[in-house]
Amino acid sequence: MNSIEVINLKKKYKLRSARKARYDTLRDTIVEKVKLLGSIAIKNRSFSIEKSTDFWALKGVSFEVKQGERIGLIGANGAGKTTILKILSRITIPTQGFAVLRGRVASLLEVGTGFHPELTGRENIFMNGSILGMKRSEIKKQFSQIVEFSGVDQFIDMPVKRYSSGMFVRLAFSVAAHLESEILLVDEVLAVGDIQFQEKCINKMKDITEKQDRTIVFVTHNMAALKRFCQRALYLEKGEIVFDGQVEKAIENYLALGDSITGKIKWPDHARPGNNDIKISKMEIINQDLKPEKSIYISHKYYLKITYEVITDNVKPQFSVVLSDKEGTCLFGSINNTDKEFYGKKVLKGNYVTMCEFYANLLNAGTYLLSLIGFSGNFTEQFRIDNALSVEMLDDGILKGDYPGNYGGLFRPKLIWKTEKIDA
Amino acid sequence: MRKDLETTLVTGKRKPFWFVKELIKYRELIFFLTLRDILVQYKQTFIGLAWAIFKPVTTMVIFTFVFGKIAGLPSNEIPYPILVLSGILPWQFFATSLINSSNSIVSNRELVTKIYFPRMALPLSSFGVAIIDFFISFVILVILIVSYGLVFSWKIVFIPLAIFFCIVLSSGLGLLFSSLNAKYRDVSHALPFFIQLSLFISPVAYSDSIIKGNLKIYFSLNPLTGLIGIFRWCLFDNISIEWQSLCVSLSITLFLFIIGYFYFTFSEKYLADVI
Repeated sequence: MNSIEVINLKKKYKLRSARKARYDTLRDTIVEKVKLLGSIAIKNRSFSIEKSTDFWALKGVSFEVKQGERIGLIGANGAGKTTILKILSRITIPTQGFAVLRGRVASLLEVGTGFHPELTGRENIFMNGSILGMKRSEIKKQFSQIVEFSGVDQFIDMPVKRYSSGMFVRLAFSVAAHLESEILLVDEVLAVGDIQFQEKCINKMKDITEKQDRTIVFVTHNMAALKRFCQRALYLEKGEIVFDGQVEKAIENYLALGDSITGKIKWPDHARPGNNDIKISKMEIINQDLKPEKSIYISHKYYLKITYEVITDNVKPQFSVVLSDKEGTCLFGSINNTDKEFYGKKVLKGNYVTMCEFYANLLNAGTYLLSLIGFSGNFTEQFRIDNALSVEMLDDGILKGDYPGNYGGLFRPKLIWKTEKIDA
Repeated sequence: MRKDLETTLVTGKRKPFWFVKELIKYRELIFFLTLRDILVQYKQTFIGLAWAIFKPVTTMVIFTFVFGKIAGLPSNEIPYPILVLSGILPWQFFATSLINSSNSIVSNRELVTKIYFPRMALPLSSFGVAIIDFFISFVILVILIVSYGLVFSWKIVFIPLAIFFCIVLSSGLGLLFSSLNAKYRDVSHALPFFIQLSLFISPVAYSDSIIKGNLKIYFSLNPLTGLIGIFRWCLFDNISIEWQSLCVSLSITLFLFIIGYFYFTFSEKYLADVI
């Protein structure tokens, strides 16, 4: 029996060109309408009308998911993965087509949706649980298990604003892991929290699916998690399903795509990623001579250059860069909070460039992917650009010295060796 | 395989009364959202509570001075402070609940874009704080009435009806403005200004008996006039109801509610995309 049936789903978004304001104002709308009237009346095209263009995020997607099946959705940014989840979870409506879901649906597009910093852990469990669709009686029944699973029992009556971010994520996750719905829609949420806890969550969810025959739709960029967790995968490209079937084959499709990611990306004004405060306009890999370059020698340092516009005053731009291998396994991340002169200070509107230096002798030869996560103050309002850039590390042999063979592994650090003779 | 699985059909089309069904299904969420707003408001108990007392009392003192003492307006044999406070109560309920509900969608943007629930739960659940504030002010009014040695009218039993009238009024406008606010953010700038104006064109600081003749019908176009009138009628024996203007106020309230409801149901499905 099918748990989810999706039939010819289409979704259209309107893109406005060259818009800087973060929302419509009544004035804009009136001005536009008057211009339109004016141009009709005088039949003159000199009135420049901002024409909105249509963007099809989904161009007719159909698939079925059997009950108890765990299916992964993969593809580049903007391929339509999240749009599918948003439609299935009824956050937004399809422009055309429909879907049938059999069973209670819970969606997890973000960890800790609805958590309020002023409320205690206990209050937030109830709040968050009911937002995720749990009944009060269910939350009560599972309350002690949720608290135990999260490991924050000592702090449960403390406002969550005093929690560390790790504790916050663990508590939020625990609520989600105890959802008792028949269908669970999960977006890349497993990318936060510490690895051990992620593992615990994956196992818990896996456990529930196997025992309770639960259906899971999982959007991810992490091929390792996909392999471990899903039985089937859909590979999407530009709003269409290109491949539907075995996880391994879908990953092959996805990796082939990885080669097409470049060391430089620039967004047109209307499509700039970001949130209400910040819009990213450009990201590039810069070599040690400060020139854009995708291929970097292992023994050279290089930079990630982020060019962005701050749209509102008094914003605190915060960035986190995550470097992963081609399969999506995270190697490391870094936050710009080491930039003491800039970080945490409110900045005014304008264009900014943030550089992140990667030191020489860090990665082994190979291709790596860079993702950017952005915040605008206190780690809220996040946006992420997964696998925005790729950087190719070339072996210049300097570190090898007289060694003729190859190094394995993902890193190639220049470690410090020293030998002394000791007298026995 | 269980057979009692509920089936959800995800489409672009929704029937007008589907919303009522969804709200009933999500009633616990409305409860928790209301509770959250109240907890957050009064978490720092002293400030929250002190503010709820300070606002109406100060307004009452100033209005009594300006309108009662300086302008010397009549008050139908009701002590002026009590006349003013009995007007401030419903007006303040209207103002607080309308501002809160109009901002509810925008201030819960994160929820709207990340999770499904009937969006109407947000403007509706923002009434909790206004209701609590109302009761705090009501207690002050009762203390004041008792200390002036006045007798309550038996009509006080109709107070819940007056509150209901007020909820219908501000939820209608709240539904309209909360969805408009998501699209046109200038709503949240303009609204406080108009609410402030409504304080003066409604009989808050004066008795509606000073409005005479043809002017009466224009005044009743403002639904707050009828609302405050009904509220005072509930409290005091010597105040009568002007049926004609009450009917006008009530029909306008109902009209605004219907507009608000249908505009909200129309724009609900796009909220996550435009916000």
